[in-house]
Amino acid sequence: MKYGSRNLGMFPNVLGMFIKLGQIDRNFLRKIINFVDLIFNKLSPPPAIPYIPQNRWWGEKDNADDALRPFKVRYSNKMIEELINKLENRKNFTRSLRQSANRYGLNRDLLNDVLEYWHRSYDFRNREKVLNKYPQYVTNIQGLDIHYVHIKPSQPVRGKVLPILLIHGWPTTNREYFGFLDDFLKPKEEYDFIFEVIVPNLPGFGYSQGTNKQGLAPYQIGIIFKNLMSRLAHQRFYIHAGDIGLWVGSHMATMYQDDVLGLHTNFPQSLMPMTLIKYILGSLNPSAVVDLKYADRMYPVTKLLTRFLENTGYYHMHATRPDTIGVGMEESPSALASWILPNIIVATNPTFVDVPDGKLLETYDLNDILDILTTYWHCQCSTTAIRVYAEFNAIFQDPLNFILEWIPTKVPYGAIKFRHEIIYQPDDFLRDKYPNLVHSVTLDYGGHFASLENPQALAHSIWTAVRKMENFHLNKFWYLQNNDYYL
Amino acid sequence: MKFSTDIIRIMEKHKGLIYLCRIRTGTEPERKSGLKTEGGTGTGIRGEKTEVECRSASTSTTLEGRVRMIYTTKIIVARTHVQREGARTCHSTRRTHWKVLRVFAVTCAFLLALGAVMTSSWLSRVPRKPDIDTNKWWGVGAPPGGAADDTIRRFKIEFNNTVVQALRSRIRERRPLTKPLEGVQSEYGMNTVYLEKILEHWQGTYDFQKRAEMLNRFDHYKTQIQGLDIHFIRAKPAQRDFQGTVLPLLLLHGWPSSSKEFDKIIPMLTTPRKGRGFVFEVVAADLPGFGFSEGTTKPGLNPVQIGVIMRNLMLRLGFQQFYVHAGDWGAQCAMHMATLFPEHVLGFHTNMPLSSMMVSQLKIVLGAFYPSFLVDSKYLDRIYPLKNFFTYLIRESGYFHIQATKPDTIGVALTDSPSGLASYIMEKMAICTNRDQLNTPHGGLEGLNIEDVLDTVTIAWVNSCIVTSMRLYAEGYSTKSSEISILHEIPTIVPTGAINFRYEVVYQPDWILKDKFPNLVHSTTHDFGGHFVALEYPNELVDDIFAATEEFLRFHASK
Repeated sequence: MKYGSRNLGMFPNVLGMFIKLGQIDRNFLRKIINFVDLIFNKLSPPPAIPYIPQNRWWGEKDNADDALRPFKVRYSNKMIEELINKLENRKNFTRSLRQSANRYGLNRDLLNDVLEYWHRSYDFRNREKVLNKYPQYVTNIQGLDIHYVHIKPSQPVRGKVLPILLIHGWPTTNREYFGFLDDFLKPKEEYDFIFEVIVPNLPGFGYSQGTNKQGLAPYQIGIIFKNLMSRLAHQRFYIHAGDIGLWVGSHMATMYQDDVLGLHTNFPQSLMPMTLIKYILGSLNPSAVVDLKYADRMYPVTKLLTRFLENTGYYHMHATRPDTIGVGMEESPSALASWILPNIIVATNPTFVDVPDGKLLETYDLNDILDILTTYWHCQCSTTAIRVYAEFNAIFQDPLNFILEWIPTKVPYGAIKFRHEIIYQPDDFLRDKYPNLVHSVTLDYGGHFASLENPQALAHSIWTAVRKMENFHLNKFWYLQNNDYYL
Repeated sequence: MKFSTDIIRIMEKHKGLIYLCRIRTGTEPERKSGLKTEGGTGTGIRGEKTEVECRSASTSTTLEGRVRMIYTTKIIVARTHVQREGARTCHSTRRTHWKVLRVFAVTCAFLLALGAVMTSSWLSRVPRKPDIDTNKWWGVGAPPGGAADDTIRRFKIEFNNTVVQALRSRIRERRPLTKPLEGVQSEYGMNTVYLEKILEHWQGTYDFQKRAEMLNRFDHYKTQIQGLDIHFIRAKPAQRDFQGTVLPLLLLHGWPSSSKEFDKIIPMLTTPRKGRGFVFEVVAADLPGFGFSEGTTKPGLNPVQIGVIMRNLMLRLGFQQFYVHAGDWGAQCAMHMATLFPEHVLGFHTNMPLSSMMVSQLKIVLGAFYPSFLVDSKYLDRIYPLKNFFTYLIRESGYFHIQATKPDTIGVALTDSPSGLASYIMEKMAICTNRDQLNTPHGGLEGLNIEDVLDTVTIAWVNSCIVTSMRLYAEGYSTKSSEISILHEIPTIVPTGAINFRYEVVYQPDWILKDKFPNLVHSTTHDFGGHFVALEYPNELVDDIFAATEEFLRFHASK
């Protein structure tokens, strides 16, 4: 259809386009979408970042102290005994409905297998050593004791040393990166740099202290992490983040556009209003917004929405009533496992809920997962951890949570998209929030917990992305001369 | 410079627009500007983009060069626009334009009218009653070959010592609870400082034996229906020489209760009242999977099926015709029962009247534009503004969301940890009793008697039935069967009585309820009370049941 040569005015063409194959014409839809972009970019400039105090106090006591204290995980005998006791005396749980696999929640047989392993075969002392594999420290930032792993390259290195901050999500701790670090830290021939890795626990997660005050939203955690990096003498650094760590990472990239050198994530997403509008418009003809190869990761909307609703009950509880649900999780290790494992299964691959054993043991090393569960148990941090959902969603009390999501950032962005990631967005969508998308890989395998499931692919993606980001910074003067947009 | 900056932005992010403009220029000026295009029609945005970029890269033009190129194109765009505007003033083109507009307007009007007619006929359609198997087997395995067990066995509630001791020691040995945030009462969920107090009372001073005795003052029975052992209380009128009629009344509770919810109103219902020529013989049953009733191991036991089970229970007890009072999920079961079996149900009374019909929902949404037209101004704030209602719903429906999707996930926490169970159940009972008290440590719970609340928690604990009870949400919202959604659309002709309390989760005015219950013969609205009124305001509830039944009798007599 030639729009250039029409002589009938606008309307019949529009109707014709609707009628054609019962679908909106792809090119016409693209024009609409470009128009949406134009409206949002030209008519509603992104809100400015307001002044945010950088030293808000989150501690209970006034105990400012900037020492870096070495830290080791120690399980007391009493704690192990109590845990084993609780596992042994667990109640006889209600049998799963016939042939329901994991659809109503974690299958009872699978749960019992995991708990049995935790109770009888999990070697607490050995796993303690794994947790202490890397040098870790605790330091007090804005009143909270933040726990982090800090690995400097040991031997003298050829090229640059680039600091990178790895941020984890829920239901993990910084332990999620331990398996991945081995590969990640090795110097590589073809790259002229090496990483210095800092892996903190989010406040309230694991051995990082939780606050007793309201309002510790992801962007406030971002401020804490920025201060942590400053204390470690890294003014400028890279970030990799996954899961809800991305809230923190992306808000840091928005607030500190000059200091964050690049943001890499395996959970790439833009929550800009125009992205959502484009997503909905795209459902009229997916080929207008996404390569048809990947269309089934985004559409049909109803299917994804149903799946989303089916699997976000936990999110709803976390965001509205964290304290209620936290009581059970801190009191019973079985509850902890049963609350966390279904989320791991469904985020790995949504079809695994139809398999009785959820392919959990095939996909993951159970020890990795139990390390994390044991940390949650040891620190008794379930409630403080899930409160971050409530803080992020307290948009009426603290609108900054969403304002920051709606401000684009010039920080170069790298994305790796695994097959079963919860949200898939094509690069054009991501550019709404991150115009300088320099790296994007789409894979046809893998799920949400990349650092546990596909550590090598993730590590490779970070290395490649960082090289591109370095190049981006080198070439920036091209833009500096002519254009203030990229500054 | 500002202009070229904008162009760069557009170029980098909105190539399609440039493309659109360039197409309009026609091919001639573009050749002049040195930009090669595919004859002006173009084969795609991507092709155009690559070309421009390649060009600037291959000829190593500086960025200024690039800007100039686009700049030139922009000028041409503007000029061609002027040319086209000129063309439009041509007489014949304008006439076609108007003709087209007219055709379009008529088509739109026609489509709108057609849409309106179709919507209204679609909304007012009544689907056929689904075929329900009234003997479906819910027990373990296949139904046994011979005659099913239909004995009615006496039953006594016992909180035996081992269970109680184990429970007490679990509560005593609990880990310290995470303190609420500074300045927070119940906004983040159960206030753990308050919870500690309740837990202390539960394991120390709450008298399990006395509570069991109190419940045992009624006659308890169990009988097997469709493979499940159903527990119920049967209470006959206390006064033997009563002259009037004795009407059978089935009481159905909701989540997280059991028949215990009715222990205050049962004696009142079985006591004759002055001026009333009737009194009730009460059957208060535990829904399957709740309290002392057995839960199923098969998927699909939804409110419709529970309605069938409860109707079978009444038939077994020899009541061919009976009245029902119910709240919460019980009201859903009873409503479906009344829709399916109007020959058995003589009257339906509820403290959670709700029409889930499509047309009712639509009315409520449309009513948002002019609320006082829809609902009495006195009760306006119970529905509108819808924003408040939805905020409340989103804030409080986390439990609903998880129970309707992954009941077993949350179930383990509540089966294994008494503190977890108490926190979960009490938070919900509190909010449903008074939603405006989140700024207190109890969150509204103190509207109820704490012993009643602990009875509910204890019954859920000793029967380990919290998972089976929560699965009702999943079954009620399962997409696997359509019988629920069909039954929601069929009006219930049984005479109906409604009582609306202030803090009930949903409020609907009578004229909307009449979509679903055309024979709504009795309706009361109070400005107090919550969701668990049988515990909170037993007197008002019983008064209303008597008054409504009077209306039911009148309804049947006039027929």
